[in-house]
Amino acid sequence: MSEITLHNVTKQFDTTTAVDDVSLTIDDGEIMGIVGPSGCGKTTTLRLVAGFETATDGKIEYDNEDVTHVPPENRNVGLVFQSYALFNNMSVLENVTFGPRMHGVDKDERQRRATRLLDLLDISELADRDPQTLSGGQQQRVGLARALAIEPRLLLLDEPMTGLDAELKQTLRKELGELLADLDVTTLYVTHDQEQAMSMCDRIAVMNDGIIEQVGTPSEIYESPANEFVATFIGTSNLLSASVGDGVVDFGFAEIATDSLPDYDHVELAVRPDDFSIGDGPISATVTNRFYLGGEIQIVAEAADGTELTVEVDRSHHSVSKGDEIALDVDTSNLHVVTQ
Amino acid sequence: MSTEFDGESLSSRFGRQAVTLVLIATVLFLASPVILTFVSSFATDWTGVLPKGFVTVQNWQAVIFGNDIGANVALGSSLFYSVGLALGGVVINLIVGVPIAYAVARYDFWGRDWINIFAILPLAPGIILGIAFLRTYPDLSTSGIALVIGYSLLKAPYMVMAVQSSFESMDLQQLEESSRSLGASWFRTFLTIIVPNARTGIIAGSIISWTLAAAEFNFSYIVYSRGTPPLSLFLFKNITNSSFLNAAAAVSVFFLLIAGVTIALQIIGHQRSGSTV
Repeated sequence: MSEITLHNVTKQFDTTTAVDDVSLTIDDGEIMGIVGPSGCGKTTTLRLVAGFETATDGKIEYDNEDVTHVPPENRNVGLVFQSYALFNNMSVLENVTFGPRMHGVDKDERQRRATRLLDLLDISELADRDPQTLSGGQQQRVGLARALAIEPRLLLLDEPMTGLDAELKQTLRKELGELLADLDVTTLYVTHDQEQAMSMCDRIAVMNDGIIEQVGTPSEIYESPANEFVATFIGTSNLLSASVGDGVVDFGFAEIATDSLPDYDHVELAVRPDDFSIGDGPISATVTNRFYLGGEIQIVAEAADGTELTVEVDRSHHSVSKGDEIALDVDTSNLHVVTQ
Repeated sequence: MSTEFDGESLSSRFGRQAVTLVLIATVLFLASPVILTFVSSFATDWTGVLPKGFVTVQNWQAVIFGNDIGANVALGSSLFYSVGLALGGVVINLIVGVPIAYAVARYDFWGRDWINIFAILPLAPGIILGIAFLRTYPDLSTSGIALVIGYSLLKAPYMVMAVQSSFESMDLQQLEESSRSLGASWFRTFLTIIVPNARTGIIAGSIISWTLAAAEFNFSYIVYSRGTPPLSLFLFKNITNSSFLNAAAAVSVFFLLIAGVTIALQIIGHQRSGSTV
């Protein structure tokens, strides 16, 4: 285990800045997620930490030791890719013992580690199998066992569940989360899937255009998004322009009393869809669309001035349909200022 | 009632059979000379439509031991000489072609497209390359070195194309990075992970380039001057100076050798080339 620190790290490819002055600390034993849209620089950040890219500027430290220019094979970092990248010329067992062998671990210890990890990941019966014959979920477990067999200082997971079906993804998410918590290994988890990151990570860094927009626990990121990008990227948010004065929030289409917001001439407020309640309230709107999502119902409604509101309510409101006039309320303590 | 689907039903009823028939007819047409040549090598006479006078091994004896045939050398020495020369060409292609195929498939660098074109296009015909060799390296023509180098140059595209296609079917970057993150150096990764994972392409490329090199006539005809002749020249002399049945036996030995080498390499290719635990 290690504490990993990025100090003002920048990575430039020709004229493109993929990572721009990023500073981040991953605490010892912490699971840190990096989420962001495609091309935001999250994979480049992972590759910089792993040593496959060298920072144009800045410094990367493992336990205060500068590793910025240390080649990847000397960093002792476990890596699991989206494609798993298993070695098809070797059996599952040989894949798992490959890393320890490269680190000069003796044969008995290699076997012991491999047996323990294959047991832990419940794939002991696959030891002699050819990786090509395994299912996606089994390959993911082998990839993980192989990465953990070197007893890495840091485990890097690069979209390891992309491409798996939803049910398997959910099962593996639970198992992987428990495993990482048990192993207490410092982990950097890069994904575009915010739901995975929210459920598995201790903290999340939200990246956009090469910079980190916000770092925080999943609840901090969701409940108190630092800006418009985080508010809209993590979950769904209604971004509403308003003014606040004399204990009243004026949205233009409705006024709601508040005792939790200071006065603003103009402010952008983020409201999560599930922070609305339906049935009674000062906001009048017309339902323009309705989506049945299983656990809840998502309603898209248009306020009196044409502002579009996305609302999520429980299944008891299944009778709401397109064209209905509805009344909405919102608890102003759940409103978050994203731009003043 | 409706005729809209009549055409489709006709096609679905007879389409597959028609394709199968055409395929069988074509394969029979192409394979017949090979089969008849092999069969006739055990015959005493082939003056009519079909060979007759079975079964004799005289033709094979004559070819293998070198008695009573037009060429004054036995097939054995010529065959093994050609096998060795072609093998030399394959070894050079493996040493040069595999890294070129890897570089082109894995990296994006200045001149990549040109290297790719030169590596996979058989630019010079054997006869032209042979003349160029004689002009440039007149002393080399008396040894087998010129033949080995020439074979490797002429057949390199087949090796590069087969290996490159194997490399392109893998996620080379992630394989390489996985291995390196596990502590293997780049060179060790290349030898123990990248190359074994491309073994199907390497074996296919080796079979094709070896087979074509062993039977290369044009370049051999221009460059060869003395000593044991390469197989293609040996066969040519047999065919021109000896009976067709002797030549048939000589060709059959070559067929069997190619079949044997191909099967052996296929078996190797299907074995897991893994390392120790």
